[in-house]
Amino acid sequence: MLGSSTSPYEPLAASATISMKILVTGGFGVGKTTLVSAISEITPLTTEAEMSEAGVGVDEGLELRPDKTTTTVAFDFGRISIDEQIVLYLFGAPGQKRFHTLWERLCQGAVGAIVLVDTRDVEGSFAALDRVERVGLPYLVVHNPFDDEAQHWSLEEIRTSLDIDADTPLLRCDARDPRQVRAALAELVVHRQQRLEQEPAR
Amino acid sequence: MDPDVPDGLFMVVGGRSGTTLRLDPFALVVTERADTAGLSLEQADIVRICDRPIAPAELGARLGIPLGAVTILLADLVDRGHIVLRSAGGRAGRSTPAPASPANDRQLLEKLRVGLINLPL
Repeated sequence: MLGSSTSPYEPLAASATISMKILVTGGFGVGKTTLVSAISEITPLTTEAEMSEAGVGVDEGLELRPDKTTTTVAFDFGRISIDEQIVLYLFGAPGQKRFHTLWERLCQGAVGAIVLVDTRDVEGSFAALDRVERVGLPYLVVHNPFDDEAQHWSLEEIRTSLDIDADTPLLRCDARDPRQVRAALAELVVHRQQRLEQEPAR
Repeated sequence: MDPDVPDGLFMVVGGRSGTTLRLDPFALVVTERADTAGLSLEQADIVRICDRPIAPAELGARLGIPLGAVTILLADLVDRGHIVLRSAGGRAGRSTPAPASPANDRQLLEKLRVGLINLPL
């Protein structure tokens, strides 16, 4: 009855009442899925969203418009049950510019973003940073080191070459290591908290 | 017929295209009324799965239905009192203004931080 899904279904606790979410982004092949898999309590899932090919306004509310040409775009996500009440979703989003509306929708209400950067792909890293800046989420820049990097850049060199703001946390994290990923996520929450403290209380 | 939109999709959504329901893909939905009389097979599946809280994105992945169709099916089930929205990073509703996001809630952020630090791995 459950369509094409064959993976064992692992439901949330009945007591789960609040969902929070964090975007995991970066250039192509930078380790996004690896990072999510390292800490997700479920095998990361993929779901599809319909986008209008025209892209202007008509995809509001992810509605279906059979009279328009729609295109399907996939995004993937994992999840972590934080306590009895809170569930944290880690999601990726398609990078292309034409999916910007879906991006904004997914990012709305997110705690923040982890931007994975790759010293072998400065251009891709720039593009990812630029997209996150544009949706206005607080973010953490994470260097996921690869063994075949031609030279090992220091974090300061990365900060300078990617023009990362002095206030933006930058850290090194092996995306395969659950402990390091856990620490990076906690660091992002702290960054969000600090940003809230800088705003006048509501 | 538009080649990009499979025929089956219209059966699934029951002709409710054009809804303006805004639903966060990671909001939690849960079954309020479990009887499935009068529901389509897909809607009955959703009512059964939502016995435990679940996010629309996860529902879509589990059922192999795109998010837009899931949203429309859920909208109808909410209207009919089978499903309620539990929470959201932006709670959904036709016209109700979105309440404060959990991401701006200091208490919840602190719980999230502590929960992450203590997460058993």
